[in-house]
Amino acid sequence: MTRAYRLHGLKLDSDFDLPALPSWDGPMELASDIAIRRGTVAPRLDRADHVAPLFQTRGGGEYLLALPGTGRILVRNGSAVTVEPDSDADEMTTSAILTGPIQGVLWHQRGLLPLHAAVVLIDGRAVALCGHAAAGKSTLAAMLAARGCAVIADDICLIDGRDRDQVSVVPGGARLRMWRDALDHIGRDASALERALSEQEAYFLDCNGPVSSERHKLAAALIISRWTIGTVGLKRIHGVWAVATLERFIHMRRPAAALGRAPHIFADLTRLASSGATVWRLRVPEGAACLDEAAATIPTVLEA
Amino acid sequence: MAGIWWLASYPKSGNTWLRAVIASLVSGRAADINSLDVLGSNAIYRFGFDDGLGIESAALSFEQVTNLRPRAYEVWAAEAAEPIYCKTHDAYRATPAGEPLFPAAATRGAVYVVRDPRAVAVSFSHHSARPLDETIARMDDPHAVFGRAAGQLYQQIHEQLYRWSDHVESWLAAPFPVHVLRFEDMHADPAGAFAGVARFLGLPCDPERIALAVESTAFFRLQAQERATGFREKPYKAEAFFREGSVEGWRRVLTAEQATRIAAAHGAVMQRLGYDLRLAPSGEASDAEQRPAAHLTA
Repeated sequence: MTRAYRLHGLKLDSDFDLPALPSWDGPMELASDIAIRRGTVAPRLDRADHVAPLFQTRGGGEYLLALPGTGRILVRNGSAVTVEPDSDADEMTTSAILTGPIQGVLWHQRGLLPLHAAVVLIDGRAVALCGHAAAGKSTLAAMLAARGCAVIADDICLIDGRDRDQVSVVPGGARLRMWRDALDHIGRDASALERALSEQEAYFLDCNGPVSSERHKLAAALIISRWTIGTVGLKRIHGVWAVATLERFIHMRRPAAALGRAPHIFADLTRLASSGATVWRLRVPEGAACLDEAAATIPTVLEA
Repeated sequence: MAGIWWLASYPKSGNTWLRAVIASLVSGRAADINSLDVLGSNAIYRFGFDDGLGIESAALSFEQVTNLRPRAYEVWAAEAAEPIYCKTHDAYRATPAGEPLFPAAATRGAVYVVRDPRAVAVSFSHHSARPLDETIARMDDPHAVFGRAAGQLYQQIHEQLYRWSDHVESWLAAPFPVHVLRFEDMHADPAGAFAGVARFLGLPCDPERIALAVESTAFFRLQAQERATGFREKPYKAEAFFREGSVEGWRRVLTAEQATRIAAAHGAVMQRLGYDLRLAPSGEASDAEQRPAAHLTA
């Protein structure tokens, strides 16, 4: 059965359950922007111009992921995804791969810029919480939601820089994927939530109601640094260092480079930095108290 | 290809000390405990895995991640301009898919640091903030893992330790050059031990450089650095990373029964490495034999 979802404003039809995404709430007769179909996928791309251990690309429009234990996934031109699952594939893993790495590839192919970040609205202004896996992006977003902020994206902050005069954040959804320890910390009962992964205790947490499709100017991007010592702290990063730092937080940056996106990414990040978005390093040492302090500190970036 | 030198050990056996020594040997400067990653990535650094392969490990099963680790190491090795030094606490082992976790094609060799398991038990117990008896049992658990919990996502990928003896034997049998370094020898003759490491790794081993490595990595200096600036690799629950670093301190902490239990479980490998199984080194009754220690015995 095909389901329809809203993916950062686009209509996505999928043969696979994608519980991370909000259901499509627009006209059902609308043609899909992106289709994920079950089908046969060749083990390699014909005349691939980049071959890595897990993926291959040809030009800017073809990407093949061959992931043992999950299957083969072909992504074409930012709109057509074909999945041939392995016989032992786990449905939740497949779903997480489609809404994670494959989503990133779709955006790169469509010429948009996905940052590895959650996005919250603080007093109506968009703030991206950037970080690698396990940095605490979703946890901090949930903590800010508890303080009255609205979550508008988890894990991918989608930047549209195609209009040179207006770099904007395209909102996603308010559903966060969180591990049990983080839910414990914010006082949410994991047993009442929908499971996000089979083997690991990760769950979906809905923070607020449906997210409006209104785009936002990015006010600030915070790089969450957990590999740190000392106390919670914020430090502004300026100019070329801001661009270079954000580049490390491009979602799926290696596939993006193989798809020929590197020069475009640099141009988009430069425009983003010069559009008024401030960039900060947020130092968050280990420990629950530091997370609490960090959540209280984040809104101060808007005073700069 | 520059390739990877594995810096391998069971936890709390002197791996960080070794990394500080190598950092000093490579750079010709005094070691800085918070800049050890200049040597290369930790073998289980999650971002290194994700970025190297262009995937998200958080979405994958534990088995998928382990099966893909050799591919990540091949990428790291292929892209390194200089040899890289990767810390690991994994046993040398096969992935569930049946290939070596540490692929020979990406490997230059390994330095394996080993420490008397009685001292490891005491240090590991403090490091993990777990009781000694539980730690001793963990060191004898063939399924022991490090850094894996279903309800928490770590910045590091989990490691498989096995039993302490099996860990040691796995690395001694690895199919590439392995330089075995006893923690106790690093203590007794640091200059000789570090020069041996430098020769094995093809690093400068002139007396001045060795002397700098010895001087700047003396335990009290590493301890002082941690007190002054903190150490970002210290587990949140541990009081200090560089705690005591002693060779014989276990005699004050373990009960005779605990020490005997470790020797009974791992005696064959301990003897192979030259560790005296007797409780008292000179035939005298040790502190441990005279009084059971309540400390950390739960």
